Amino acid sequence: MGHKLILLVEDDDNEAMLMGAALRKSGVAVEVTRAQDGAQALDILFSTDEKAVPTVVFLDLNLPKVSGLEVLERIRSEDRTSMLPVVILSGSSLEGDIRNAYRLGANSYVKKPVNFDEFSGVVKQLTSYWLGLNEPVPWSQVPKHRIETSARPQSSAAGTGR
Amino acid sequence: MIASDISGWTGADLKSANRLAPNETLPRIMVVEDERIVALDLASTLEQLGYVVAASVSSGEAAIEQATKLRPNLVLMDIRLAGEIDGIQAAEAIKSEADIPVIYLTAHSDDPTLARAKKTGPFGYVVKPFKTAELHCAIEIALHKHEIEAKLREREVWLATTLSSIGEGIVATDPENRIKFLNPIAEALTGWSSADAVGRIAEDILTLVSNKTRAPLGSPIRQALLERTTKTLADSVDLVNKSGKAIPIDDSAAPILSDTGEVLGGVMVLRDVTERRQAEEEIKKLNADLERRVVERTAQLETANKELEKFNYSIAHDLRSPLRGIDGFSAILIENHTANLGPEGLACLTRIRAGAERMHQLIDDLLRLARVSQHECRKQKVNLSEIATNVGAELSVSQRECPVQFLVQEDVAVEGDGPLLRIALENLLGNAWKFTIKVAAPKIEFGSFVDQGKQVCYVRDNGAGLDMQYAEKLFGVFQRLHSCEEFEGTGVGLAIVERIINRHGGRIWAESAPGKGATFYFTL
Repeated sequence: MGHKLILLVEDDDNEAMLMGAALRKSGVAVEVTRAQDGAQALDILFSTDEKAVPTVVFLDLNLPKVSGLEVLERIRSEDRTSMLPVVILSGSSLEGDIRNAYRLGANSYVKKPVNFDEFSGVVKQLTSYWLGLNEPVPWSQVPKHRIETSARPQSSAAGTGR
Repeated sequence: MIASDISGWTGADLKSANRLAPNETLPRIMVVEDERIVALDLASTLEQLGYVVAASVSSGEAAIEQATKLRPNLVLMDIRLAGEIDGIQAAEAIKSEADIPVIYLTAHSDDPTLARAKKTGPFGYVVKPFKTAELHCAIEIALHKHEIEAKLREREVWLATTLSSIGEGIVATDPENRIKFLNPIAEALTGWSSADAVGRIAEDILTLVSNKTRAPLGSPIRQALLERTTKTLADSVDLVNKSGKAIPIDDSAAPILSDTGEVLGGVMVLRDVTERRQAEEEIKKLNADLERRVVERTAQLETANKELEKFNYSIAHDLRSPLRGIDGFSAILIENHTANLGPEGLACLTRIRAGAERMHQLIDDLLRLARVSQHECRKQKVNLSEIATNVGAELSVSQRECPVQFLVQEDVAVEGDGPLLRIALENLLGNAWKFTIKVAAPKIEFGSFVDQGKQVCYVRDNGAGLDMQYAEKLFGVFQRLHSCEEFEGTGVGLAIVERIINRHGGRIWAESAPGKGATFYFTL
C-alpha cells in the first residue's frame, strides 16, 4: 500500500477547503497536493519527481489556462499516467460534460452535492475506493461507476415529498 | 319685313271659324301659294281632311318668317313664288332655321327643278293637278316620316349624351376595327380627339401593354370582333396614351351584333384604375411589411427566449457553487466549533443550512423547468398508462402510514414526447401522492375519456384539494396554494407540467375544492 497521494485540481479556494474538511471528516489518512489550474496540474504530473505521481486525481472541469478535459486527455495520452485513476468532481450536471469526460477516459464523474454532509459521504466513498487499490490497473479495465449527486431518488419531480 | 301675305288669314282665324273646339293635337299646316284661289282651295281641302291651316302665305320670305314664328307641323310649298326667292330656297331656309318637313306642291316636274328640290331633302313632291287623296297620302307619310326621324334624332342625342356623361372611356369601332367614336373620357385617356381618331385602326389609338412585362398586348376589340364574344382584359394592363404616358386600366370589349347576328362593330369600355392599382400596391406593401415585421419579431422573440433560457440555466448552475460554500462552511463551524458558538450560534447556523437547502431545491427546480423548455418536443405514440404505472411504483417506495390505492386505466395511448410526458406525470402524480399524505384512505386515479372528440387525460386524488378561487395562480412559477409547513415543495411542479402540456399544444385545468381532492385534466 504505502504512501497515498491525492492530486486535487481545483481553482476555487473555498472548494479546496471544503474538500480538505470532507477528507478530514472521512478519516482516511491521505496526503493532498493541490493544483490551482490545469497547467500546474500537468507540471506536477509530469515532473521528474516520482514521488509526485498521485494515487488518484480529483479533477475539476472548469479550470483556468488548461481545462479539466484537456488535463484528462494529456493524462490518458502519456504512458506514465495513462492508467492513473481520474475522478471528475464538477458542479455541472450537463449531459455534454458528463459524456465528454467519460469519452476522454474519466473513471468517475461526480456532481458535487450542495449539501456538505452528502459531499463528505461522497468523498469518503471515493477515497476509500480509489485509495484502497493495491496497484493501478489500466483505466479501461477499471470499473466505471457514476456516483449520483445524492441519496435523493433521481426523480425529475419538483417539489414532491422529500 | 316682307309682308306679302295677301291671303290675310291666319291659322287662328281658321280655327275659330271652322272648329268648335280648337284641338292642338291636330296637325298644323302652313300653305305657301301665291295664287290666291289655289291657296283658298287648298286650305279648304286641308280643313276637310282634318288639318289646321296654321297660315297661308304667298311669298318665300313670308313663308320663312311665319314658319319660324308659328312652327307648323308641315309646310306645303309651291316652287314658283312671287317675290325674290322661290319655294326651293324658302324650303332650304326653313330646314336650316326650323326642323319642319316640307312637301313641294308644283306644276313643275322638269328634271332640273326636281334635282334642285331633291337636295333640300323634301318629305314629298306632289305634282299639280292632284287629287285630294294623293295630297292626304303625301301629308300623312311626311308627318309620319318626320315624327320617326325626330324620334331617331332624339335617341341619337340621348345616346350621345349618355356616352359622353358616362364615367368610363368608350371606344366604338366598325366591323373592320376602325374607330367610329370616342367619348370624352376615352379622349382624355388616349390623348386622341374623337375627330382625329375616327377612321384609324383601333390599335393606333389603344396601345396596350402588360403592366409587369411591358410587352404589347393585342387589341381586345379585334379579338371580340373575331370571336364574337365579350373579352375582359387580364389584370395589370396599362394604356400607353398619345404622349407616351402609361395609365393602368381595366377594360372589356364586346362586339356589336345586329338582330340577325351580323357584326356591326365593336365597343370597348376603359376604366382608369390608377387609384385602385395604387391602393392595391399600398395594401400589398403593407401586407408584406406586416409579414416581414411578424417574422422579425418572431425571430427576435425566439432569440430572446433562447438567451433567457440559457441565462436561467447558467444562473441556476452558477448559484450552486456559492451555496455549497455556505452550507459547507456552516457545517464545519457546527462540527468543529460547537463550544465557541453556543446554542444560539448553532441554531443560527442550522437555519442557514436549512435556507441553503431550500435555495438548492429552488435552483434544482428552476433547472428542471429550463430543461423542459429547452427539450425538443418529438411526438410519437406514447403509452401513458405504462408511464403512470412506473411513476406510481417509484412513488410507492417512500414510507407512509396509509398505502395509496393507485388505479390506472389500461392502454391510455397518446401522441407526444415520452420523456416530457413522463416528467409531467411525475409531477402530477407526485403532487397527488403528497397531498393525500394526511388522508385515511388515499386513492389516486389515472385515466382518460373523450370529450367533444378530444382525448382528455386526468389524474385524480382524494387529498387536501385546492381552493379554486386561486385557480389562475395554480400553474405559475413559485406559486403555492399551501404553506410550506403543510406540504413541502417549491411551487415549480405545476409550472413544469403546464409548460410540457403547452409544448404539445394542449391545455391543462383543474377541478377541486378544499378537503375534497383534486382532479387535473389535460389534453395534448
